[in-house]
Amino acid sequence: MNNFNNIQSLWSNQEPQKQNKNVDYIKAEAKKRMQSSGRRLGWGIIILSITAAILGIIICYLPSLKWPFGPGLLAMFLSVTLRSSLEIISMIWKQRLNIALPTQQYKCQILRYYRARKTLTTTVTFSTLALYFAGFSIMIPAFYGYMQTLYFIGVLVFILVSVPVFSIFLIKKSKEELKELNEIIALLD
Amino acid sequence: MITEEEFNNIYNEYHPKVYRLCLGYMSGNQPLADDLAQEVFIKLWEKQNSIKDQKALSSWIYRVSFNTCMMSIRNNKKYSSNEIEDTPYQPEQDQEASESLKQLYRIIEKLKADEKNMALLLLEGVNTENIAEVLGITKINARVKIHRLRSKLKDEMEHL
Repeated sequence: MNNFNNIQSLWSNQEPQKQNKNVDYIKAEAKKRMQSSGRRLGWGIIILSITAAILGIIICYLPSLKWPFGPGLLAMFLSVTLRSSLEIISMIWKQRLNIALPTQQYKCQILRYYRARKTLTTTVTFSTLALYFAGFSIMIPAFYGYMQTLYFIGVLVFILVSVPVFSIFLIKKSKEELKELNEIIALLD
Repeated sequence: MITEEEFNNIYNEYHPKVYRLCLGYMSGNQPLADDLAQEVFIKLWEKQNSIKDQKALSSWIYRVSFNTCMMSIRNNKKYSSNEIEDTPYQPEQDQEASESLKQLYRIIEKLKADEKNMALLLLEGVNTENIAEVLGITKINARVKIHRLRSKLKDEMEHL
């Protein structure tokens, strides 16, 4: 086969497979994905708005809040607001990735996104989680003063159970995402 | 913004081309190429707002196809050159042509990513100007690379 036209004809004469899905299925699937991504962004914005509003109220009333409730609540809601904001920025960033760029440029663009996502999954997630628990922890001694012993023990047991469960869930989720991100980055690099 | 009817026309016109590009990326595996071609058209519908110029529609379709194929490879790593499928061939069951096609898939699979994209466009008969536009390189650069790649493909196919 020493003529390029023969190679081209060999290529174009491949028998096409019978299409499993028709064009209507493709449009319906695309619309479904767009709606689902819009819904996720919508929920993210709702969560961010609520936490930002609570954070605003805490900041307004900060001078009148007694130690350690002011700094404790501030740390807790600041961490949630920060994490939610970054998640929304990440969602919008992903939606705005331009898949119609030449491959090399697209690769650079998507690598930047996935590296940022990796930082978000590791450093940012665990820093905000630490800030959240720090905020909560400094309020525990004050709870002891305000609550009856039985209630306090109940709260303490709840925390001792829920914190490890929540942490394990979060670490597992982060590990899964990190594994996926590392695979993509290794492929693109 | 593309209307539903325009999209149907695009689908009918470009599906065979996109499907063959996907076959090139999936080493001739038809079910995988079919899924990938479907994914490309879903992306085309989702990202239709990114078409800046209707005249550059074919470049836009090829770019979206390549980028979708590139991102899908990690899900299909298991398809190596040892597993190239028997590819049906038209107009008749020509055993020699079928073997040649398998060889062509092996050659394509060994190419670097940018060479692979260029080879697939060349095989589709896309002209130099459009290849340059799709790959985001100058026409002169494209001409040089195309010349080298055509020779490479011919040489390797001669070793059949």
